[in-house]
Amino acid sequence: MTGTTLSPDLRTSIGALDLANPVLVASGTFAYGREMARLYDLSILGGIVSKTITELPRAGNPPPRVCETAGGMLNAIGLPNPGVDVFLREALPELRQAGCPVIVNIAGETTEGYVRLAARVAREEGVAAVELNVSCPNVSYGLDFGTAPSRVEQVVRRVKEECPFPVIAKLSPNVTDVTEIARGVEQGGGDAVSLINTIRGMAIDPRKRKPVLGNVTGGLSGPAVKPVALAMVWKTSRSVRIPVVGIGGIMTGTDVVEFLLAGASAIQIGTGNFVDPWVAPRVISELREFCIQEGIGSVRSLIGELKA
Amino acid sequence: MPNSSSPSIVPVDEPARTLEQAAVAPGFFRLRLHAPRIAGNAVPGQFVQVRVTDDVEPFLRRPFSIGDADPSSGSIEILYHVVGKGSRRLSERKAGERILLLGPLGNGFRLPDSGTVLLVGGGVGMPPVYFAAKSIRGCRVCVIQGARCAERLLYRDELVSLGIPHRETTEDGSAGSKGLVTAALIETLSDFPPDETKETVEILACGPPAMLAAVADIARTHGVRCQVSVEERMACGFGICMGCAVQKRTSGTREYALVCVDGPVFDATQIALAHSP
Repeated sequence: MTGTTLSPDLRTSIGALDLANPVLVASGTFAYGREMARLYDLSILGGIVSKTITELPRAGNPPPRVCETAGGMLNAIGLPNPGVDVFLREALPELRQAGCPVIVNIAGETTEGYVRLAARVAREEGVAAVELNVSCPNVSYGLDFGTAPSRVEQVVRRVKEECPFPVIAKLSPNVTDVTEIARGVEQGGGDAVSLINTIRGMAIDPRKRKPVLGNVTGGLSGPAVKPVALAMVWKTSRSVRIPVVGIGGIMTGTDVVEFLLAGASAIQIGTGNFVDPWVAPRVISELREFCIQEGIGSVRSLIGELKA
Repeated sequence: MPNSSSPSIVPVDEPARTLEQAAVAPGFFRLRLHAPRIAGNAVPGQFVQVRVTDDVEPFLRRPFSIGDADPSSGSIEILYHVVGKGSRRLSERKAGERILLLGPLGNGFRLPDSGTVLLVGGGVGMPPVYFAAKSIRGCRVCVIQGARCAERLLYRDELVSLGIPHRETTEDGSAGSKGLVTAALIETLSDFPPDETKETVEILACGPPAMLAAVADIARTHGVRCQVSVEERMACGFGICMGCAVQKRTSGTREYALVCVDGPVFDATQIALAHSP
């Protein structure tokens, strides 16, 4: 508690990466920022995580790619992206103009693929960190890395050698024990973990007797997954010393507080961007408001302070 | 693709006041809303993303084609069929209530300014067809409308009162000619001298996927230009989720366009239209 609560300090950090506030936007829910920059000033964000970049262009999965479920949605987008060359040439220069830290999310098909991508991104100006997508449930190789601690450790270690900036690994909840994977990241020298990616799920059309999604299965996101995410963030933050970035169903300022208390140093808003494009600025002001009302001088004082 | 909307128009999230909610046929509702910022910019073929409730259930917004927009009164309308949770909740909203509308979204029809325009609407695909029909200037216009039965001929009375020429077909024969709208389209095209159609006739269509595929085939056979407004399951509606993919008609590599930002109106030759739902 502190006396000066009229302007609470929202600053936080993910390892060496300092953030003006803990609210980032998640990969795959903000494209490359171009559409969103028309709607509001992106510099107010804690950071932007780009849509996943792969070495070669990807068309993505056949439709339908999305469907609604109770309190959330399923997606099987399939990482459509123009490939790293076009991304660096056309999307990144614009993304850098956002005025907040830019985290580039990458996915390789092999360890060497991750390393090559990281090396390309590392040569660019204005990249604050990379986030390794080792957890996409919707591409054939997506979960290969993120479900085996030793493979994650190896990828992180190799990528880390290429990068002058923090390396974050985005983890899948589709594992027996997420803390084992997080420890793999830590042992590989990773700077942080972000979790959770989507939970594998499916929807069925009973009359057609067919899956709703073109990819048959997809990933569940939205408020429906928040309790799962909170539990995984809490367990993980108690298992590793590196910072945890919380993701999963965040739509309000109090959702952010819950994740911070569970041990997250920062959070990402994902699916909420689809429902309310202005969700991130609203959440930041709600977080500020919460701190004022509760007499909290700095959001850092909330991190991991769950009374349990 | 050339289109009639301006990409410089930034969508707004407008807390629209519900003016009127009326059942126009069993299960079909027309919702009029006061949304002056959207009404002032909307063009036929564009859509709005409707936050059906302020709750997390139903979670996603629902996309609806704009059926009419009147910049002078600041009102827009959508006409929809109750098919699930979202549309049912929307149908329960009452006059005076506020509903968040994100829009206008997407690219509208490129409206011709001369020649003949055949507007083909199937079932609940009528709203953008009606909006286009009443917006077109300087052309000979004919609306060709098909529905399952007479009471589902949406916007029929409005077309009559505006004096817009139209033909109607119903699958059960309860109004107009019995059969599919595509048969009426072929008949109409046959009335034109063959060398005239290519130059002066253009088709604008919205309806179920099988209808659009058939209309595109007919347009190709007759050498007539054709724009189609398509639908796909959608999350955001403004290009960030990449959910609403429609396959492009390309040779070799598989490529997708996004219905929300590349469409929903496409040149029929640009995308692969599915024959089965």
